[in-house]
Amino acid sequence: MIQRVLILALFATMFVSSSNGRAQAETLVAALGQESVAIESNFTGTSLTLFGAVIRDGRTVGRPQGYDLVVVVRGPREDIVVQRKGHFGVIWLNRDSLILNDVPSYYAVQSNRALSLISSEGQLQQRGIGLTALAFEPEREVQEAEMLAFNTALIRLRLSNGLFSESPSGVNFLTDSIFSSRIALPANIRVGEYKVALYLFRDSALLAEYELPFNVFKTGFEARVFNLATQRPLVYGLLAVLAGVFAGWAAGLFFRQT
Amino acid sequence: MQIYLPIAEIAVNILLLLSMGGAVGFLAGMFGVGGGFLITPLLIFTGVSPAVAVATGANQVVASSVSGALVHFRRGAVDISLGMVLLAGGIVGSVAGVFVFRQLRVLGYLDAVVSLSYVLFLGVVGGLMLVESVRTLVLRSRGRAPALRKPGQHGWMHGLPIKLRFKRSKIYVSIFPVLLLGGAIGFLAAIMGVGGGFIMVPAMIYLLRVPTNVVIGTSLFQIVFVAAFTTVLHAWANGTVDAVLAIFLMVGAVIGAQLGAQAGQKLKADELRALLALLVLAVGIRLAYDLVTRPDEIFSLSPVLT
Repeated sequence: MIQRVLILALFATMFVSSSNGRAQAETLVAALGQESVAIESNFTGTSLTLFGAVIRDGRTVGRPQGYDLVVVVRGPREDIVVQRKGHFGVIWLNRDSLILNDVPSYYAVQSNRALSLISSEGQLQQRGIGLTALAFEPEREVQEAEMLAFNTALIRLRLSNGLFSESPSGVNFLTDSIFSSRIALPANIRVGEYKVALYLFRDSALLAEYELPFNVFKTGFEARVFNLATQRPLVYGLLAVLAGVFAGWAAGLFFRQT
Repeated sequence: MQIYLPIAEIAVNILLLLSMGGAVGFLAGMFGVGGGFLITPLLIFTGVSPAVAVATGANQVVASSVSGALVHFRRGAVDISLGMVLLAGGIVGSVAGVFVFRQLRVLGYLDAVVSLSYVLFLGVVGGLMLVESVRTLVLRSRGRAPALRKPGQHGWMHGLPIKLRFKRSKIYVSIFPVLLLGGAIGFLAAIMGVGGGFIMVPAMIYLLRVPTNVVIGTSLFQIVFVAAFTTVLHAWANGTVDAVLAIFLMVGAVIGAQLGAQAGQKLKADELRALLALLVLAVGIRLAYDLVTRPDEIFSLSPVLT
């Protein structure tokens, strides 16, 4: 793994030194331990390891204060209904709901120290870094207080089931320019393309960005069941019934003989 | 050992599923009921969404009623023509039920309606069973044999038009109460994921005056087809049947049911019936408790349904 990053770093160095005209002095490179995650029948969540390096060109002087790095992982976007229960007679029932559009199904922010120490709020907000920077688009017009209530509820619920996370100690600098991070993926993640965005800061200034994707897909028996259920629901339903008929018939047969 | 359920989209322990199916199947086999009314609440307690629990429950009912239906069919204890009329009503009821289910789901009321229906039915069924079994136990302890209820000779429904003669059942009755009963059972199958035998059997005995020797077989015959139809309809219209979940429940349930049926012949049924009644009531009370107490989290998330 480390070798892989070092090779990448080497390539990047060559690339940087060949393009002399570039204003940026720092460049980021990174790689994931695996480019895809397969959800199989025994899938109970997994974690991905990210390795990366900060590449300086020759003329850049060493920075005494060191770098700050933020890793943001975003899952495929989806529309979500947020429902709020209220009293209905003696029972609790979903009374209000709000559809929020383009919500990332997964959102994890990891950094080497607290985000507030890394950069200004405006800078972070602009790039959608941090849970406080997440503002979702409501499908209908609502009052600001209501919007805030539903927005924070969505973030709270997603935090509690592990689909959203924020960790100010999630990035480790192994040397002053090589870093690693672990991306935890819970069992309930959506399938689709995920994007890992890396942001390099120093003294609140954004020096470099890097982005790499990975893919989450279902595989094996579960995937076949899921695909059949969604693409050919009628065939799927008939097969489910057939399985039931067979189970009942076989049990009757077996126990009649014994 | 955990398994990922593709439609329910959660990981559950396989042994939990097998033992849940087995325990419910055992009780079901012992008392000659389908057990669907216990499977669905148990799945909800496990963390399966009520929409998936109901539809998967209907699938499970197919397995648990097929072997019983076959046994009764071989004995000739099925009134096919009566079963067909019940089934016709059942299919209409099931279509209506799946449609209502879908609308409730879009509106966000499904979970509460499913829980409420269960509270109502488990409360009534558990309460009646408890009263019945306690009465029997008391009478027996006093040394008297429990008297069988004597049905009256004619009901109000014998005045209704379009009568049909069902030879196997030796009844001559209007098709409307038969269709209505089948329809009600089909509707319940779709909304609650139950076979509905616990309503069908007493209704056939006391309302339609079907002789007891064909009641169970005919009821099971109708349940197999209504549950099968409901499963396909749910899979098609709502996409909420989890076949992987259903298969593990079925394996547990069909084995449990056979063992339960054997155990039921040896054991004293009255005490056990009281215990089952208490269990049914406990499940109902738990669901009621969850409905009336303030939830820890009043917000919830769901995908957008159209």
